[in-house]
Amino acid sequence: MIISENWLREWVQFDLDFNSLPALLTAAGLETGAVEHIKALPRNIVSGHVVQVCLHPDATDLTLCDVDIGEAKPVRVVCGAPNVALGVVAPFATVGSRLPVGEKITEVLIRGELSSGMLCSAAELGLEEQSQGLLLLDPELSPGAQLNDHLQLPDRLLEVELTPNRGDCLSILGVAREVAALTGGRLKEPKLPRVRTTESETRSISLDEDGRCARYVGRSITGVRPGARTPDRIRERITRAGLRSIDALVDVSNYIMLELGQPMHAFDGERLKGNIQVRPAKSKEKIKLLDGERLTLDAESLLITDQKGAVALAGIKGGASTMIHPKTRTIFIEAAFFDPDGVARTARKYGLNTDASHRFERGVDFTLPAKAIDRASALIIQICGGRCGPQIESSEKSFLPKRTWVPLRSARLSRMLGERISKKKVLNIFNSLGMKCESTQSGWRVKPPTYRFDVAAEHDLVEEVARVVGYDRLPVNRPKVTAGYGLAPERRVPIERAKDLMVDLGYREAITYSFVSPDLQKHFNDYGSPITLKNPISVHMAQMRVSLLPGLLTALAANGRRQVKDVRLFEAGHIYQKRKKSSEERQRLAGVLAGSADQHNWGQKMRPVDFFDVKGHVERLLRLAHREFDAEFLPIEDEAYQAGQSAQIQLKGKEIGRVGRISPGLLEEAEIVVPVFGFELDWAEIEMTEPPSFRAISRFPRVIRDISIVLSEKFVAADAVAIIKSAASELLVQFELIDLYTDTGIESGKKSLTFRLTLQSNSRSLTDEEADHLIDAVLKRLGDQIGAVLRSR
Amino acid sequence: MTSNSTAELDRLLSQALADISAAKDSSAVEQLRVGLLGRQGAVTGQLKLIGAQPPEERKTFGSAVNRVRDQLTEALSERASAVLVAEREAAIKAEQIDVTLPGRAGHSGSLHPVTKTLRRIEQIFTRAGFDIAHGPEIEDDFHNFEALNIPKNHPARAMHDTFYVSDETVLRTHTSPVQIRYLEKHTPPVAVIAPGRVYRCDSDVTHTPMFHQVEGLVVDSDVSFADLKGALVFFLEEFFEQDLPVRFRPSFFPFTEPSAEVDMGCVFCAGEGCRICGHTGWIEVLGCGMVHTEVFRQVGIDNETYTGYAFGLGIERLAMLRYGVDDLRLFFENEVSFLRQFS
Repeated sequence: MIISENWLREWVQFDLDFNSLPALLTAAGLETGAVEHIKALPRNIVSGHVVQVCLHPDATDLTLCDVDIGEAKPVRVVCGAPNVALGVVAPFATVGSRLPVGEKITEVLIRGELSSGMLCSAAELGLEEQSQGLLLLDPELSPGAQLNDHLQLPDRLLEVELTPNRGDCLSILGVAREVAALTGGRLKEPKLPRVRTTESETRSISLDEDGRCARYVGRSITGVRPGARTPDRIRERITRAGLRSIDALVDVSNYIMLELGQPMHAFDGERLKGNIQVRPAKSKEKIKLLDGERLTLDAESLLITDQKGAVALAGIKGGASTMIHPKTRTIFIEAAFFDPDGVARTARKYGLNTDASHRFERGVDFTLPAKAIDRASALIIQICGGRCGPQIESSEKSFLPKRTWVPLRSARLSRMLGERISKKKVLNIFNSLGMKCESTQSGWRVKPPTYRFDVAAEHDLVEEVARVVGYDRLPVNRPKVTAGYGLAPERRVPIERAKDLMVDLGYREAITYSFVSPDLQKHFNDYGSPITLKNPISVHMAQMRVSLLPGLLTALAANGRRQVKDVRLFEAGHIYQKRKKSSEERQRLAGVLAGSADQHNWGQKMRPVDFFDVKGHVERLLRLAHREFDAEFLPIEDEAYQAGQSAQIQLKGKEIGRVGRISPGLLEEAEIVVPVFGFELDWAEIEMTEPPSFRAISRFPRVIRDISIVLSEKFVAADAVAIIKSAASELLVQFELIDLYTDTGIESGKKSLTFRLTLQSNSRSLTDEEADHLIDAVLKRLGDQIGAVLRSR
Repeated sequence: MTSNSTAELDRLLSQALADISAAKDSSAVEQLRVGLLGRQGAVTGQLKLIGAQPPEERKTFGSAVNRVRDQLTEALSERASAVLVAEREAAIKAEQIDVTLPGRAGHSGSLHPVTKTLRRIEQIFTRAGFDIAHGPEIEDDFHNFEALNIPKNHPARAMHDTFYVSDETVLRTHTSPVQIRYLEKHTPPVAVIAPGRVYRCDSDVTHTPMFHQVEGLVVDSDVSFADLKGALVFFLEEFFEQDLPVRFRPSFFPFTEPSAEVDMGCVFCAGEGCRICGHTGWIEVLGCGMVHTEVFRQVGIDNETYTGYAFGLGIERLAMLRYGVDDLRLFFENEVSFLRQFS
């Protein structure tokens, strides 16, 4: 809501400087931006009457105009405005004047013709951001007249951002009320001439039975002058409020709406046939709105109808069949009270948001319609002439909102605010807000005014007191610290720890959108079925991710385009999978890396990253929860990864993640041209570990034995590892794979693996025989199960 | 004692001393030691001759030989240490390197600024006794709207540009549904924060379709607006590590009443007014209020026994203010040139 100072001061008298209103209103809950100034015009910009127009001899889009500015002779100017015509009145900047936008007016030759001044548009005067053609002024203005008073200049504007509960402030009157309450100012009402009823034309009005229209007031005005001009002062006010001036009748409806907050509608009285009925639409009933849009309605929508059918969508928009047109001579104006919920439902259903529905949804003072009709009638008669019929009203009191006493207990007030507010102060606050307030035994009782729809219960009254006292004047209690509450269990390794490790491994944390392109995601077919958004921002962000990899690969590609070569990114976040009736979210941790394995160094040959780099990182992560020895890496076929360089990671037979080289197909889709490795872990499956449990430290010496075995290429290292683990006794305290060899001396199709086994007892020194015995047992098992033999030297 | 043997001893001594002082390295010294004092050494040979001397000369000769031996032993050991020092110095010189060459460091990683900011927020509130809770991002209409006193068609729904998964399922538009979920499972007193991703169907210079919020909720028998103010003033002081002016102004959220928005003195212009604060000197940082009676009713908490406050803050917003980031979209472009600045 944009508030003009001039207009506001007509409705409230207050002593404060206008510039201090934003802070005051903001502190009371009406968020207000900085004051915008509309400058006064210099004295040498005056009204100019165009008394002669002829074509420029040398330019088809220019005219030569003689303009009467109240001097002895008209002044000649060259004008390029399309709406210049004989008899129009427009602002005229004389030679030597300076436009509010900065330009200085001098005598100039335009295509060989002398121009001594300028006819101006609204934009050139700083009244509008942009405008087409001259600003046409009231023809009654005398030539050479000063324009400031006429155009209500200077002026200052405030833009108030209203929260949905404060629909009562969607008008000059509403903001004036608030200003009066906050400044101790006095509310007043600018007088309009009384309307005399001279005609008897009337229509009967019947209301719907559900009470969705509890009050409907209307009036016929006959004999209005067709195509009457909106007075400059009214046009200025509605354009400053951000509305467009259309024609006098529509402008007056909007003016009253801005002034009082009561939306109005004017029908062409000749096209509106017979009596008026407010009723729900019949199923599939059609209406063509005044902007040409056609709707097919359901029975929930409320209509204004005449003898012939629907003429308006109640409280939202008028219909085309009865709209005002340039030749309208008879009108019927409407002001009503519609149920907020009903208007909201219908407006939402058809995607309509009009100035009227915006107000009705938030609640409009149900005592306003008669006053609005009277003020609108007075203005219409003043501007367009015409004769008034009687004001006709139909109300269903039982459906009008009730205003009952709401109790406010002083104990509750103190408890909620943390401070006692004096009885007198509370009474003053409610009185200033126009609310009846009486003392009671336990505190007060308050009757909210008809324009407030957000004061119905005790907590609403608490808020009113708080905001008028000022939130900043209420006390501040420092928090009482109660340590040791909600500590995470020790056996859970927090994902934050895993993130720290990723950082130490040289990865940068990325946060990518939860919705990804279906094109990328089609490579993740066996990751569960994705959830599709009904209203995505774009087709590239239409699916909820089933893997973190698409987002990370997109980020990696973007960095590649910026010539970043060594990229390591990780993300911790949810993935989303469709379930039968619902969805499931799981916490994942994923990383991607490309480029060289180590940071570039002067003394080292650079090695590109490979599978074992990323696998090493995964093992480091598993180690956080002591899972590195339990995890199994099994070759897997997955469209996202390259076959033969990817593995599924299992813990006790359950998949907990995947790791590998990203497949060429997926890389191509992501527009990446370098090899990329990646992994993704289901952290919830890994995070639980056992807190450390102390074991006695053995003081006896360790025996270290290296064994090299030769086995067929068809067996993987894990096969040998599994056998060693199962064959060895508890004396085997540590073992590592220390070499892989496939070159000279090894039969083709075979490979050699060297393991280092560390043996130690808790109770004695091991003898060589004991060690040999254990090694022999291991070798025998290796031989029996995978045909491995000891490598001969 | 024969002058012959004495002269020989003298020759041996002076020759040996000359050899020792000429020895260039420790192996030469060791060689001399073996040649003189070793089992087959020249001095050892002389020592063996002591017994062969006539008895009257034995003592004199013996002490002369022993003197020579002692003298040479000392000379050898002196020379050995001198040579060792020289050798160590030479070795050190030979191993000299350019210490200004860069070391072998790994790649550097970094946490996302949203994570850094969230960790600070969590630390502050957990120290003040708050629990941390999480809720689903794909949320039902009841928890995201209805239970928070935002019925269908309420104008407040227009404040949220909602992503829909189905008619009754949305991507949560705020972290406030976690208030409801937490109160469904816990009985007061509670103090909890709930961080996470939230979604609004909006994308322009100042809006991204996804961002992060932290919800806060405190419910106890006597929680007042003063406690709410205190908690947030304390939080902002700790977070920004400076005393900033903070103002509370009335606002509207369907699930709190009274409701407030909290502004903080602009950190960029110290309240003077600049482009970032829209020339007001104030920057909006969070929304809050006393838990609405309707919310308590929905989760079955007695409004007379308990009162509570709730707040919601935007993590990106705090990160932008804290680190001076001027474009929200940078947070989700994940460019290394941006991410590396938060190492």
